[in-house]
Amino acid sequence: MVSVINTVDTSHEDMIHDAQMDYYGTRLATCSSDRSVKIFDVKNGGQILVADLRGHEGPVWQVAWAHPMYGNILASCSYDRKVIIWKEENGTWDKMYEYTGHDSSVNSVCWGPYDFGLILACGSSDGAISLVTCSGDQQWDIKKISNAHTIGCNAVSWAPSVVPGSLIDQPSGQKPNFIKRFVSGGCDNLVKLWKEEDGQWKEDQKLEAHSDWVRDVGWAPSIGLPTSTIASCSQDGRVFIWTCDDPSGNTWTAKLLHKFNDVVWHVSWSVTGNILAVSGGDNKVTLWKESADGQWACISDVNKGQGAVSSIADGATNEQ
Amino acid sequence: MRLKEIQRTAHPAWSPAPHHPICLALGTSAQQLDASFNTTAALEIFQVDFADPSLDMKLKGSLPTSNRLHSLVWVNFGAGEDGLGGRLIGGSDNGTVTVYSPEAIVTSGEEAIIGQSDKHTGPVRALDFNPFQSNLLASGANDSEIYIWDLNNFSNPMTPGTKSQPPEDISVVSWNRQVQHILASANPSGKAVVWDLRKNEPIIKISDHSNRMHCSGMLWHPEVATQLVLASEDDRMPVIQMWDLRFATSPLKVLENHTRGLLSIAWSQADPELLLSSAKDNRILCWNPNTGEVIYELPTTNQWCFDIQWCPRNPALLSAASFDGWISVYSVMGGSLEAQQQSRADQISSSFDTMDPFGTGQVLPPLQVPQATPQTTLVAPLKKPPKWVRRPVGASFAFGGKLITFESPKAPVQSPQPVPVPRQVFVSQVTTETELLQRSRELQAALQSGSLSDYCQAKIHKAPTDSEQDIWKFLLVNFEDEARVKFLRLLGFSKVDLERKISTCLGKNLQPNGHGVDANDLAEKIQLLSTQRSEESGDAVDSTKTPGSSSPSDFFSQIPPQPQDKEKISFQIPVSADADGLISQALLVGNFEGAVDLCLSDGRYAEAILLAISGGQELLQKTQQTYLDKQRNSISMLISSVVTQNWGDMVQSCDLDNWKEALAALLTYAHPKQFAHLCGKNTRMLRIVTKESVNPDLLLP
Repeated sequence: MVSVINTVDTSHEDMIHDAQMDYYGTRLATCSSDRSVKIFDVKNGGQILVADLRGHEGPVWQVAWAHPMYGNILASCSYDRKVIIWKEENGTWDKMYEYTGHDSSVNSVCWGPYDFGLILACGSSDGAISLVTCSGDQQWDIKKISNAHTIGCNAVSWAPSVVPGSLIDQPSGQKPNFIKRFVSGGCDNLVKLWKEEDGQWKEDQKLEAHSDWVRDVGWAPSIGLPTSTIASCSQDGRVFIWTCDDPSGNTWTAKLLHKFNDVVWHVSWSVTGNILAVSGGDNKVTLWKESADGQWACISDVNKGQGAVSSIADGATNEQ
Repeated sequence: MRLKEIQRTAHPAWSPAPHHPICLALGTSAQQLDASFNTTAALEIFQVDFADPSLDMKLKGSLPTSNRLHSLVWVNFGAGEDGLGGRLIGGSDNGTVTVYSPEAIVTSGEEAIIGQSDKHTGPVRALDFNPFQSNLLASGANDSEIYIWDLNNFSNPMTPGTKSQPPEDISVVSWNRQVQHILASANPSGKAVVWDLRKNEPIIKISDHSNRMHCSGMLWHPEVATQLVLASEDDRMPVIQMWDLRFATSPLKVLENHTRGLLSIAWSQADPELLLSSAKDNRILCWNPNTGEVIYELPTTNQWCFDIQWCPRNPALLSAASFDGWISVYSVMGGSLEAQQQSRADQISSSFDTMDPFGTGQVLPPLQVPQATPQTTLVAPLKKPPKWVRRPVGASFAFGGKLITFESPKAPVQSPQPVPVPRQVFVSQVTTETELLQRSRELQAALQSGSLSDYCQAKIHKAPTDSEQDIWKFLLVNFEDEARVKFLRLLGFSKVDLERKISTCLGKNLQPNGHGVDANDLAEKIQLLSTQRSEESGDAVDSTKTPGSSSPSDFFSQIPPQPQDKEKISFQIPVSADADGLISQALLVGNFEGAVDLCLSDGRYAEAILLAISGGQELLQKTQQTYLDKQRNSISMLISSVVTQNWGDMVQSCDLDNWKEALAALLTYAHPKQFAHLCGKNTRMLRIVTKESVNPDLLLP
């Protein structure tokens, strides 16, 4: 059941391309084709404009909040080939770092899990993926994966830093071996998994199932169960759920969530990783949940923000 | 950014949008000869594979054709969901319109030519398929011939109406993208005729009377049904004219940038703000037809490009065929040319002597034509991102089950003034376990208001099972006064009932205890009871340990030492209606009197006395009295006197012969104050009894 509790009028002058809440759910960042990034304070249902960040010369495609333990940091990527990292100091937001290493529009940014430090993955239309790491006070290291996707990378998403299976079998006292992994989707219709080995990033897996541009990928947050799950959506209207059961992470099986009639732009996992929000063409946002027998059912159709609650129960799936 | 290229003098045709993977069909073009003066003709299908970073395309199938083609289209007719399908229709030099099956070409299996017709009399230069009905195809040739073909019934084409006079070549035909029965045709003299197929006659003729323009391209607007563009090949007027049929006397807009005549135009179906044009000034420009400005210029070689087309499936790609025999696939999304420059350089240097110091991996200009402008490594993308990149809708989750959604509101298209559109972001709360939330909300409300008993009452009513109901009843009682009594009652132990039971058992009419049970009192009594019980069991344990000589101890010592938790062995509390049960019930309720009475009536004197100790002094004395009354043996009188400290009675009632013993008892136990009095009593009694045999010496002061 979905009910609108707040409507934030952003007063952007052009199409909004992304809206993200921070870790605690108190601040909302939005970005738009009008080249600005706006930050609102949305505690208790209100909306107060905290900052209007200008710095991009083209439409801003995506924003991403870093983990609060590093402070209030926001990254934004834009058509003007720049990635800007903003930081709040003493109540004012300022540019902390500007990355211009891409040759074409940067389509997606995603912060890695906080255990890995302050590391940002950026996917661009020139086909490369950059990893921008903060290695200390104002020092930033860049690692670039060239030609990750031939005609452009549309989305990047990090794997959670929880070792799969840690909820069930407790590793006895030894420090868990974190391997940095992320997934990317591109215009070559592929979903690729990347792993860092000895400081170098290597392509780990190539998942083929889509017949058109992969618009978005999302790695589900983990609560320690031994499965890893990735969602990918594409221009061809299909959303696939990829699951991997073995801890080494080598065999991924695809399951078609649904074939929509229009392009699917965005997939987003809930904080506990069990509900998937799918945003498709014609302003449709639907929520999907996996039932106990492994079938995905649409639990709600968020009807254009009017708060209409048309629950689409699949057969007799009882949520209780 | 150039992605792929191939050396052919051919007309390209993209595979239709639903077709995957993307393929490019090339049919050898007429009116052009390559350097080898080759006159063979073939229809080839290439797969455009982007996982491969090289510039080459993979050849999938080839079919030699008898004629060279003037035009080629790939129609999505008769295609399955995936795999090669559709129909390739080629208009050839001698007027033949041939329908090929791409699938057959690729698999080189059965007959690839599906249909052929010779209806046209001259070279078929114009071909276009209907976007709504994929079986309809229009072709235009010399002599103002326009035929509408139905791919289902290929042998009999229709005409859209009477031929326009004077008979001229038809250079372009184009179906309207919004209305399916409108077709437009243009001829090189600059006249464009719009036909309505329902009425089967031309409805409007557009011609620019002021200038003579040689119409080389004509396209309808992808979204606005009444607008179309005409491209002029004339070097004196190298413009694109935008016409709106609502005011068909002069062009709406004229796009001028080319310096020489235009050869071909292509309008992106994905984003109507992208219009490509290629001209004889060697440039390919991308326009925004709404604003009329050039937004992009493709970096190309110095050659005329006679055919450009957008890829239907991947909206960022376009194909460009140029007169130097190269067909290239470009992307408008920008990118780096480094990889391709390297391969180009490699190709060039490999065909030369490696001793050549200039051919060592440097970028060399192609040797055929001197290159004026050096190729920059960075290709700038379009100034404004195309429509297919801009994400209109999205949703993301946030902490606490919140969902943020945004959408692009549909702005009214035809509004004359721009209406400020509210750009809103919706924050929603997602709850999946609604019942659970409801319950927690109720609980929270109850906790805040303090009306917990009401809450419990409500729960009792709603409880689905009996056990749940009981649970809630217990909780309810907790919040009420006299909780413990009610608890007991819930458990099934009612004091009143029990007393009734006891009285019936004993046969006496007992008065029910008036006073309620004081919890503290009760607790103390129970405590006492339990300590005594543990003492008793402790004694038993001790006795087992003492290596005694007496027989009970012997017996016990033969038992192997019991584990320390002997007293923790679970015992059953009988609650039956017999004496045991009643006693225990009475004890559970705290009715010591009743329990004692039951014990006494049952003959269990030891238990009676034990319980009476806990029941208070009064009860103890009463019990003692009762017990002693019941017992009638020789020493019972003495015992009773000792216990009850009642010497007066004893003195009076004991046998006179035992006056010594009575005196002894008095000496031992009597209180000093009472002593004298009791002694006096003693002697008086004696004197009464033995008047004569009294020994005055015994008279004590």
